[in-house]
Amino acid sequence: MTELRRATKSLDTVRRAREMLGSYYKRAERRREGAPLAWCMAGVPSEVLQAFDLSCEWPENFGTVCAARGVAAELCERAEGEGYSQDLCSYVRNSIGYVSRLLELGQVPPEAPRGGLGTATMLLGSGALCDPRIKWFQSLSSQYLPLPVFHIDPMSPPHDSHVDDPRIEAHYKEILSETLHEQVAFLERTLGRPMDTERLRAALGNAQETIALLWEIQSLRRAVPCPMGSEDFFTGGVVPLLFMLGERDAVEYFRCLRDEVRDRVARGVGVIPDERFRLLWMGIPPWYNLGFFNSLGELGAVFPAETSYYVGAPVEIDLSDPLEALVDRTWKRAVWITRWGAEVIPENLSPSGFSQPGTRLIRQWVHDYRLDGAVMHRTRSCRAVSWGQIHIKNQLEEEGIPSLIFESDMADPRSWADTIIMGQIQGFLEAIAAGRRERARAS
Amino acid sequence: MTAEAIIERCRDLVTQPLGAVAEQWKTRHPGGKVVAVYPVWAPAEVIHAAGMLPLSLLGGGTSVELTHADARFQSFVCSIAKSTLELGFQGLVKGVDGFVYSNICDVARNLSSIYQRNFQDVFVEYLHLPQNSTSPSVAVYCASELRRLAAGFEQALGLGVTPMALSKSIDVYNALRARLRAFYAFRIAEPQKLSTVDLYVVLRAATLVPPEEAIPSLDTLLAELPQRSARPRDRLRVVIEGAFCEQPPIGLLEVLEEAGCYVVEDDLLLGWRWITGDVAGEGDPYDRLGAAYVNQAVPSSTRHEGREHRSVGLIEKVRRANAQAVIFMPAKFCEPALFDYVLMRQGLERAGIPHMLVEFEEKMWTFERTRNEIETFVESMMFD
Repeated sequence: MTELRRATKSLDTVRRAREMLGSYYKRAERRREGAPLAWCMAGVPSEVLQAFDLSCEWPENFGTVCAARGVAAELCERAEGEGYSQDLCSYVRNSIGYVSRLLELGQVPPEAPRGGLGTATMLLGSGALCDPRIKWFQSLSSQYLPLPVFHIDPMSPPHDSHVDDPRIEAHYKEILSETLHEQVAFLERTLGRPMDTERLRAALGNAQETIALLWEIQSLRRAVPCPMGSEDFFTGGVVPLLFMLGERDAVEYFRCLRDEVRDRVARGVGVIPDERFRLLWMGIPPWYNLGFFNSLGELGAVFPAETSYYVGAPVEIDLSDPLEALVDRTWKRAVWITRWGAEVIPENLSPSGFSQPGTRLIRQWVHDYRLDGAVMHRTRSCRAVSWGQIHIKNQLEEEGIPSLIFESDMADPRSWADTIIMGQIQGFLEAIAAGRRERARAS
Repeated sequence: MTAEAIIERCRDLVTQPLGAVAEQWKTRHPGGKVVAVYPVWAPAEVIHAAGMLPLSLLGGGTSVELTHADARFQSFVCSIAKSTLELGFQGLVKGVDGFVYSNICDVARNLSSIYQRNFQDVFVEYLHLPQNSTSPSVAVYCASELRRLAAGFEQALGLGVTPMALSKSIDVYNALRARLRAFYAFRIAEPQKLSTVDLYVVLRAATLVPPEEAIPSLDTLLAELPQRSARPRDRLRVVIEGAFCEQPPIGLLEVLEEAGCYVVEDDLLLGWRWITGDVAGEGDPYDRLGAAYVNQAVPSSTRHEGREHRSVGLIEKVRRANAQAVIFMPAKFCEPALFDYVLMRQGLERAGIPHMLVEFEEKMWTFERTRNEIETFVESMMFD
């Protein structure tokens, strides 16, 4: 019925992503020999990097590419051979396996997709989003790449904090401001040039446009039939959102995407011809098998919403002091998330502008998106994202919505059990259909 | 009281459910409140300064069957997280009024909200501690976070913390930590007179009583221990590393010793020993405690130590304890320990220090295979 395969994209804009997002996909060609280059964790605000005109690579994204190109398992195994447990993050194992092989060969391994990662001159990490990641660059810098490292370390308020209390706001904003100023100081020191404040201001302005466009696209996806599914979000939305926020290319791309989605809604065009099940996706997708979503499409299922990489509503910020504007955006967004129920989002203070939606918002989505069920990917090597699924499942049950939790991994395909998973999916869809018939009979 | 009697009393205490310990204290302190803290560190001083009893919250160990908690977690989560929640379901922490969790890993940082969701009648606080210890603003933030914690106690439990009370509590815990350091120093010097199992139960018992009560007993024990008659044996002096959160079964510690090891250093129950000397400085006690968390902390896998290699603190520990080898003892699925294992192992190999890995879970019942592995390791070292 299915096998590990890449996604078939539905939207033309998404199919053209590589061509439209040239500043990302052609970065290797544009890079000057020997120029500074940072390897960055998702969670590092890309606007600050743009303000320094600093070239970047994102090893987590590289993990997804390696997974999609079928080389992640081999790289993970190599890291495991060096002592890294299979219980640790597969993005981390993939990158460590890659670097280990790179050093062994003295050149980019021939199997590395897209020519591998550029040669790093520094490592920029983030303590936000997931806790042990801080150890990832510690391992890389201690063991393989003796480079300067800097981690931002944003602190998040507990989910039940009184976020309207100005003392609480000051408590968290002060440490966030400090850590971002320290990142700027680190970059100024390492690069030997000051941050371009105007560039930061422009990038934040662009990011505001992107966030507003994403918000609009998310709203348009409520339409029946669904004009854009999760496979298009994951293949075409994640790169410009996570790694290009603040860039003009990202704004124009999302504008084009918004226009196409809006046009589809106006014409009543959906992702699949026979839409029978509208499902919520929760978790990181199996990057090595995004065609999984197409397989579900063949069974009549579409995903109009997903909880991963959620941005949420735009917030107003004053760009006169752009670094403080970034602090303010981060705080206001955390407040917005908290108001919608952040009990399974301990790290909602995310300077890069994405995390997960609040629980009450997800319950609201049941009605907004006319959901029939939820499919949750429990990723073995990512406890951070898998954690809240049982709670959300229980919450959705109160809305009368069933959920399926299946177990695999985001980048390590060895954990994918196709027959079992597809069997679970089929059973789940049949149960939804049976429930629907039951309700029809009862009414 | 003899050393044996004190240790036996400690052994009795640590086998009691946490709730029973709390209720016994409350019987003697009517109207008192009890707050339990999840590993690795939370400021017992702040809890104590509010007039409450701080307790260490260390999961269910071998005594609690998981009947409710398993359904609320994914399978690939450490035992302590599950059994801590189970304690609540089985009423084994009834009598504990508040719980403090912190962000030592993705599992721990989520436990606060899952605990609160399941048990809404108790006070639960999430302490967001900085990982990056090199930033100058971190100590200030940390102090502010401790003030937020104290404000939470006052609001939820009606017990405030005055600066004077906190200063006194810091002094009391300084005195307690000095005793604990003395035990560790004694064991390094004369491990034949203080087994790790004995030290462990004494230390764990000290996390279950007010420090003012613990200190006199510890002093008596410290005075008694040198009088014990025990002949030094030809054993391998080892350091246990990686058991800083979930605690290994006592049976496993026994096996380690029976298999021919003297454990001369460990990272068990690290929270009560987190601050390596007296809390320094003068002035605002929150500032002092915040700075101590950052600047006087024991090396740990739950913090980021900047560019210093993760093995540095461990190798220093090995040298200081005159140890011959390291037993890595991470709990199953413990990400901080599993990450550090690689860097530490490499550091040890560069330094020529032998090591072995013994992964554990709370509910380990049989140790024969582990015993064989340890015996083989010890023999390979002793007869090399």
